[in-house]
Amino acid sequence: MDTLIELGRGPLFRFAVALAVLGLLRHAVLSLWGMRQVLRRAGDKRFALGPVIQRTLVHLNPVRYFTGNRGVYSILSTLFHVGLILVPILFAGHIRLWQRGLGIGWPALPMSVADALTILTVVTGVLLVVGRAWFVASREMSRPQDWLLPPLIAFEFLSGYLLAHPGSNPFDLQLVTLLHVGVGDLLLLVTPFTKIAHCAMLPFSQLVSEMAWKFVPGAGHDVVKTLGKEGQPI
Amino acid sequence: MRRLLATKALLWFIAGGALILAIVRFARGMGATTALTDLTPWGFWIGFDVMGGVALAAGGFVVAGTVYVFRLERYHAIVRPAVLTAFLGYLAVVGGLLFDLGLPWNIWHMVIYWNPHSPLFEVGWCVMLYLTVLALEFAPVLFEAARHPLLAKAYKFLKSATVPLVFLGIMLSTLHQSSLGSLNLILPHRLHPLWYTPILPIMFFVSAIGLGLMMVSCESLVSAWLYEREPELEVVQGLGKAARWVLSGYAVLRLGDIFVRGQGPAIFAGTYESWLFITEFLLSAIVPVVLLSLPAIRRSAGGLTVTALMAVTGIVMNRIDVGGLAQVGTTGTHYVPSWMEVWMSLGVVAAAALAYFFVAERFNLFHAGPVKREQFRYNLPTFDPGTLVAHPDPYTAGLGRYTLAGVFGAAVVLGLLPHSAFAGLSLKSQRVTPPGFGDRVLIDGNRTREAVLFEHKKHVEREGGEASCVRCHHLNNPAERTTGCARCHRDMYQTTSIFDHSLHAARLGTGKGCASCHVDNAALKDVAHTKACLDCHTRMLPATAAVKPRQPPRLGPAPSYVDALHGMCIQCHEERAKDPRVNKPALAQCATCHTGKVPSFDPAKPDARQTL
Amino acid sequence: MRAILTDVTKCIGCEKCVAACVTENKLPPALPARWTRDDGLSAERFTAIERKGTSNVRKQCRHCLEPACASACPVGALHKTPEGPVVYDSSKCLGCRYCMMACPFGIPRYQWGSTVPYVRKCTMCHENRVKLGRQPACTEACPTQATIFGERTELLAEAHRRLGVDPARYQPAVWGETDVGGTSVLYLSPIPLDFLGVGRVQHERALPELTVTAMEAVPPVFVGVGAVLAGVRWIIGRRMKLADGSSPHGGSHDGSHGGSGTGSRGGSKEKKP
Repeated sequence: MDTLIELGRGPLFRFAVALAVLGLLRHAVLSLWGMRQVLRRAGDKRFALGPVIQRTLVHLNPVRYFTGNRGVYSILSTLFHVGLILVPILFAGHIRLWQRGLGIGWPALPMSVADALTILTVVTGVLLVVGRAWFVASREMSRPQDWLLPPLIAFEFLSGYLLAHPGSNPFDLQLVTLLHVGVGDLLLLVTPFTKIAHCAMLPFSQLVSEMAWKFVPGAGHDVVKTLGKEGQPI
Repeated sequence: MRRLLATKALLWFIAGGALILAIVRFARGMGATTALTDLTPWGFWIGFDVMGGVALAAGGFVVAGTVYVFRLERYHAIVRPAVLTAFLGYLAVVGGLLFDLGLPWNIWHMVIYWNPHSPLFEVGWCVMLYLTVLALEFAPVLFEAARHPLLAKAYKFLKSATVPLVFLGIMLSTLHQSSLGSLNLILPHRLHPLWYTPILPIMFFVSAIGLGLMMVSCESLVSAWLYEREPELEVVQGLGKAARWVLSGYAVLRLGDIFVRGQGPAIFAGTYESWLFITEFLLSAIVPVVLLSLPAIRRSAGGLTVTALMAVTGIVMNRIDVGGLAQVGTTGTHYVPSWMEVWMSLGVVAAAALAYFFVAERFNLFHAGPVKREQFRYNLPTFDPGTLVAHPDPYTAGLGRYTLAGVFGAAVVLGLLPHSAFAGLSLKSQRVTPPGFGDRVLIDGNRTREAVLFEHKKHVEREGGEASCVRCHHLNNPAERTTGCARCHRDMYQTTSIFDHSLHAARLGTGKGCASCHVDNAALKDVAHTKACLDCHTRMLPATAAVKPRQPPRLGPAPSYVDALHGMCIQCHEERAKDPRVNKPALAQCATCHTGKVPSFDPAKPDARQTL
Repeated sequence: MRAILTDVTKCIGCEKCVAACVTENKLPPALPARWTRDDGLSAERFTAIERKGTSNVRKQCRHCLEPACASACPVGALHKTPEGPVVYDSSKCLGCRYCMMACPFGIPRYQWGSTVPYVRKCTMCHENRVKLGRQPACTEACPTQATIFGERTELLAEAHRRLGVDPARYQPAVWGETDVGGTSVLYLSPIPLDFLGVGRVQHERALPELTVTAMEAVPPVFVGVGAVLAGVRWIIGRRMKLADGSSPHGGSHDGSHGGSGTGSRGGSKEKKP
C-alpha cells in the first residue's frame, strides 16, 4: 500500500497535474486558433471583446441569482465552490507537500477555517446531488458526470478531513490516505474532459458564443438548404 | 484513413513527450537525462541519431545517383520522396546532435576553428554542406506552385542546377558516409575486433548504399500503405534487385575482412560480441539477401516491406554496435540508455515523420500530386460533449486529436520523470524547510502503519535547534524515508524476555492503541515516559511471590553495541572523508565497510538490529 | 620538452600531490556521482593514487607526444604545447566528447551534472606554472621525490640509470618512453601498468596515425568520385542517344542498368582506399 500511495503522490500525481494543466491549455489554444480561422474566412470581421468580458464577469458573479427562482441552488452552489477552490490550494498540509517537492510555498488558511470550509463543501456537495435528484427537470437533463462528480468531490473532502484529524478517523490510516490521493488524482485527470474544465474555459465559451454563431462560414448556404430553396435565385 | 490517423496520433504522442524531455535536457543537463558516464561518453544519441540517422538518410544520394548519373528514368517517381527523406533525416541528425552536444550553441565553431586531422571535423563539414545541397535539391518542390516571380525564378534556376547539385550531393555523401567509419579508427582500444578494421570507412560506405536502397523501398511501401495508394511495386522490385547485389557484396567484404584479419574464430566464440555480431550480420545481410532471392517475396509488397525493414534494422544495428554496443565488453562498462534518451531519439524521428506527412499532403511529392488529407465532416462549431468546450473551427477537429495525443505524451513523460529532473542533481543545495504550520506532524516514522502525532517543535528544541535537522532529515527528498523513530528511540522495538512492543501494538489496536501506554502525548515515546508493565498487568506478580522484582529499568536511549563498534572506526573515516583535499568521499559511506548486505531495519524482525 | 617521471616504488601514497593539485586548481569537493569511474579521477580530481597491492600508482593525464584527444577534437580545443603539457581551450569546445572516446587512458572527464559542461583534465599546471618556468604543484608537493619534473630527455636518462642500478626493483621498461608514440608522463614501476589503459591495450603506436590514411584520402576521393560520376553520366547519356538513334523505342534500358550498376560500384570501390 505504501508503494501505491507513493505512486499516487509521485508519478501519477505529476501525470494528472500535467494532463489537467496542458489539457486546459490545449482547449484554450485550439479555441483561439479556431476563432482566428473563422474570423479569417468570415465576411463580417467585426469582433466585440467587450460583451465577452462583461458576460464572463456576470457569470462569475453568483449573487444576482440568490433572489431568483433558484436562489437556494445558487447559494448552495456558491458555498460549494468557495471551499472547493480555497481548501485544496490553501490547506497547510498541501502547502507543505509543495514545499517538500518543489521548494515553493505560500500562506495557509488557519486550520479552523480550513476545517469549516471542508465540512461546508462536503455538506453542500451532498445537498447539490440531492437537489438534482429531487427536481424532475434537473434530473432529466443530468448526465452521468453530473451525478458522479459532486459525490467524488465530497468524498475527497471528507477523506481529507479525516486525514487532518487522525484522532477522529475510525478507518485504517493508510487506506484513507490511498483513497484521498487516488480520488484526487482521478479528479485532476478528468479535469480537461469533463465539466470541471469550466474552471479555465469560462471566458473561452463566451468568446465562442460571441464569434462562432455570428461567423459560420457557409451559413447562407445552410439557410437556403433548410428553407428548401436550393438552386433558386435569391 | 484510420491507419494514418492512428500513426499520426502516435507520432504526436511521442513528440509531445520529447518536447518536455528537451526542456529537461537543457534545464538540468545531460547527467539528469542520460545514462552516459565518463567511461561511455557516447551513447544511444550518437549510435542511433547520428551514425544511424546519417546512414538511414543515404537513400537520397543513392536514388538521385540512379536517376541522374545512371539515367534510369523509371526511378524518377521516387526521387522526390527519397530526397525529402534524406533532407528530413539530416535535419533530424542535426536536431539529435543538438541534444547530445554538451555546448550545442557552439556547434558553429567548426566553421571557424579547423582541425582537418579530425574525422569528426570532416563529417561536420560534409553534413553541413550536404544539408544545404539537399535543401536546394528539394526546394523546387516547394516553389513549384508559388506565384511570386522571385520564387518562380528561383524554381527555374534550381531546376536547371539539379545535375550539378546531385553530383555535389553524391560526392559529399561518399565522404561523410565513409568518414563516420573513419571516426572509429582512432578507437582500437574500445572497439571489439569483429567490428574494428582499417577498412571501416569502406564498410560504412557500402552498407550505407545498401541501407539507402532498402530505406527508400521501405519509405515508399509504408507511405503507400498509410495513404492507401498503389505501391510503386515495380520500382521497389528494382531497388530490391540492386540491394541484393550490394548487400551480398557487403556480406562478402565483411566476412572476408574478418577472416583476413584472423578474427574468424571470434564469430563463434559464444561471447556477448559473437552473438551480437551474428544477430547483426544475419539481419543486415544474410537474411535480406536470401529473402530477396526468393521470387515469391520479391513479388509481394508485404514480403518486400518485411525484408526492407529487416535490412534497415540490421544496418542501423551495425551503427549502434560500432557506436556503443561493441565497446561495452572491451571497456567493461554497463551502459544501458536511459528511457529518456530513447524517447528523445524517437521524438526526433517522430518530428521528422510528421514533417514528411506535412509536405506529402501539401506538395507534389508523388506523381499523383498531394495526397488527400484526412477529411472531417464540415459542421457547425463542435461542442466537446464532456466539457462543453466549443472548437469553433471544424478544421481544428483533426488538430484536436493530435494535440490531445501530444498533451498525453507530455503528461506521461512528466509523470515518469525522476525527481532529479525537478529538483536538480545537486546534493549541496538541498533546503530543509521547517514545517510551516503547527508543532505536530502526523508521521509514520518507522513505516509500520502506526502513525503518531510527532512533536516536531519539541524534537527540534531538545536536539539543539536548527543544526539538529540532519539527525532525522538526511536529504529530505520527497518519497525519501526520513530517519525512523526507532533510530533514536532504540528501545521501542526491543524484544526482551519481558516485553514485545509489536505484539502489544497489535493487541491494543494499531495506530490507536499507542495512547494506552504512551499516555502523555507531549512526552517522549520512550520507556521513561510510558506506563510500566505493572500498571496494566496488575496481577503479573502473585502476591505470594518470594522475590519482588523491581520495575523495569527506566533508562533513556543508550548507546548500543553497534554504536560502540561504529564509534571505533567511523570517527577517523568521517574526518578523512570530509577533508576536501583527499579524494575519498566514499570513506564515509556505509557500503565501504559493510561490503555484504547493507543492514537495514526490518520491522518484521524487530530485533534485527541486535543480530547485525 | 618538459615531462614528469613517477617512480612507483618511491611513492608512499600520502596523497600530498592530490591535495596540492586541488589547492592549485581550486577544485571543488568530489562528490560521488553516477557517472564517475571508480578510479579516483573525476571532473573535480585531476590526479589520484590507485593502490595496487603494496604499490601506489599516481594517475594523471599522460600528456602524449601525439595526443589522440587533440587529433580527434573537431575544433582543435585540445593541443600539445611546445613546453609539453596537453591543454584544453574551453572557449572552443562544443561538447562532442570525442576526446574522451579517443583517449587510450580514459583521462578526460566531463561535468555531467552541469548545464554548461566542460571537459576537465590535468593540464600539468601549464598556465600558471610550467609556462612560467616553474614546476607543477604535484611534483613540488611530493615529499619523497617519487614524482619529479624536468626535461623529458633528462628524465628518460635518469629512468634508465635507475633501471641499470637496480634492475630487480623495476619492470624492465620505462612506461611512456615509446607506448602510444611516447608520453610526457613517464613511469618506473615494479608492477605492469597496463591497468591504466582503457579497454584492449593498443599502445604500440600513436593512435592519431590510424586515422591519417583515411583523412588523407579525403580530397582525392572527393575529386575522384566527382570525375567518375561525370564520366558515367556522359557515357550513359551518349549510349542512350545512340540507342535512341538506332531504335526509337529504348530497348537499352535493361542493358544500361546492368552495366552501369556494377560498373559504378566497382568504380567507387577502387577510389575508396
